[in-house]
Amino acid sequence: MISPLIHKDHRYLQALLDNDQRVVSEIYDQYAGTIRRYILANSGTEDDAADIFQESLIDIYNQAKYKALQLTCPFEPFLVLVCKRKWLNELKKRGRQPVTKEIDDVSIGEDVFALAEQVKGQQHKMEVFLQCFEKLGDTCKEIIRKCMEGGDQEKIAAQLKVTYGYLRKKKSECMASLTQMVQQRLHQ
Amino acid sequence: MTFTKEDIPRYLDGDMSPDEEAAFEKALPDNPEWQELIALQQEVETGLQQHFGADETREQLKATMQPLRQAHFGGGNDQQPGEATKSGRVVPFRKYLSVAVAVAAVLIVGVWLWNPSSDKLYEKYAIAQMDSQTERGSHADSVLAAATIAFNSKDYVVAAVDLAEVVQQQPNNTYAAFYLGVALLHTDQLTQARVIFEKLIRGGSAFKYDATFYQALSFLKENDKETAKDWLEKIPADAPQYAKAQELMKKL
Repeated sequence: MISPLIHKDHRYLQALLDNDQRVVSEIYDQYAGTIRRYILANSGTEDDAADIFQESLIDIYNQAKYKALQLTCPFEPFLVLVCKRKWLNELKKRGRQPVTKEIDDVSIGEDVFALAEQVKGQQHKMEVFLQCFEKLGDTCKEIIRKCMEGGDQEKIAAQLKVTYGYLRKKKSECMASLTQMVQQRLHQ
Repeated sequence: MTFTKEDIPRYLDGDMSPDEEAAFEKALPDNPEWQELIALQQEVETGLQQHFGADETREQLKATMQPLRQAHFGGGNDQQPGEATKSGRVVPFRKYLSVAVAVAAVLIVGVWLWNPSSDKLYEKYAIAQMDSQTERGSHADSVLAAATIAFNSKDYVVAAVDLAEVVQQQPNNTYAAFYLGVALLHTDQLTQARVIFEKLIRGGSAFKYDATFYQALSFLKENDKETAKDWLEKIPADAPQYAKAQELMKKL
């Protein structure tokens, strides 16, 4: 259960959302060292550590912005767990680590785990979405990409030299086959 | 009107007539499979919008991070994942270091002035080291080994995360539970630390009186000397921690 109380460290999420340079710098000052040591101690390089730290902060930004993530626990263990999960996932991809057991329920610091799990779950889904997207035909990819970038669909139709009606119909079909592919992958 | 799941895209794109749409929505509750597909397609769409759509703040945030990345991490690759950024002045590491030292100094003095005696006592009595255990090769063992290294290098947050994983997999591992409590205490997660200590105390584990002693320290950390004393008094004369507890009690 995630408690509805927002932790005072939610200000770090707010700082990411606002691109508050002073507080973002504070995040690096306070937490970069811990993550750096962890990654270096677990067969990573300086660049790996810098990537994981930055990508995790961007993941958290995306969650806060698009999924209304609210911090109900201290920021540091949450960030450590997000980075750690991301790094273990990366090691797995590189074939350097056996599959680690997922943490699904824990009675201690459950907010931290629940929130980190949420971030990781979303990140996994996003990977599946993009992998399935890449398997679509070129026409579908182009149409979906352009429509998702935003902007007027009539202009997009003109750019692609098709009628507006065709664009809508095609986008609909492409999204339907993409969704079916995603569904199959997620149910595997 | 009868529908199939092939009608879902038309529904989502708003290409149905009002009557058709109403009929489709009426049929929805009886078709959980459609509902799942609709929810999933919306999720995919939001996800792709987030990925392909422009997010100016996110780009600015990446630009903010670029010099910080160079200041806090070594390595040659200063390109950031995804896109490169143009702005961002490189600030020499030494400058960051001196600022960090100054900030640390202010914090240390501040904490010391705020509460000299309790804080010093806490620091003195809260020292703990984990013994390295023989590895038996299971995943939990290797996590515990990593936790031990982190704990002994005072990386208490990393240690806590690892120890929590061990405890989750081995709920009866009171050794891991005790040090998880200590790690949480060091990272100021007092409430969670106390939950663990209380469980160890009530459960009568081998760490019963170690947990009692640290429970006292958790109150000392908040400068609540009375409650700290109450806990210290619970340690009996035949326990190995008795002398240490009496000594601390006299100083409170």
